[in-house]
Amino acid sequence: MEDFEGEPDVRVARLLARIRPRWDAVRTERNLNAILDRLRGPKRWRRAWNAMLAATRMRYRTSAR
Amino acid sequence: MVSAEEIGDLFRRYSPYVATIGIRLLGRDDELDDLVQEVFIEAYRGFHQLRSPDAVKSWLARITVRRAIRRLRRRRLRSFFSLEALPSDAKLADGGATPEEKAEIVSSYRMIERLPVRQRVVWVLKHVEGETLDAIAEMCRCSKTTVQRRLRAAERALEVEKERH
Repeated sequence: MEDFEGEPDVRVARLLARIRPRWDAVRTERNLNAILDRLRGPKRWRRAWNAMLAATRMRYRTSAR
Repeated sequence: MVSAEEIGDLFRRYSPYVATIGIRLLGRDDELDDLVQEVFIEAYRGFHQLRSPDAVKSWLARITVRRAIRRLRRRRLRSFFSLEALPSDAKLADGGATPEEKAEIVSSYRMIERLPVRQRVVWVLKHVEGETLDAIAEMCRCSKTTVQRRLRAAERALEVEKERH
């Protein structure tokens, strides 16, 4: 680590370097699933939206007749 | 476009690294899942920009830093309007830390919280992550001189804080 030793913040920096996230296999998979859901999300949402629009158009056409 | 399987491989391999930088920059665990997800979603969308597979790690680090800066700014704004308090516990520290060390970690983060966001990020990347000035400049998309200036300002501010306590 360049210019690390002897700097005034060395103790604080060493303490903070001990911080580690609790990032185990369960948390990894949970987050991966959330990401995949978010990536698939808009398409699913768009499909639902298009289906709703199509249903509304159909109902409008039927009632117009 | 990369497949879901490739995202899975990438995520399993690099998410611990992204999470480690993330928690050290953010100083709290409760925003970490959101940050890591944002980083990989941005990575997925920008995968075509990646020139070499060897650069994945540094590319993810760059995205993490950018996203963390955004979150820290938002948090600062919320705390300005008193909508958010500082973390009060020492969940951050690893299992081996003594209660005194945990308390010291919390008080250190309280000092760092007072730094301007960009100074804070540069300081953490340099002194906690042990990154070189060149690497920090690349991650923060600024010049090496700017990194040095921010670092000096952060160190001066931390000295003042320490003297006050």
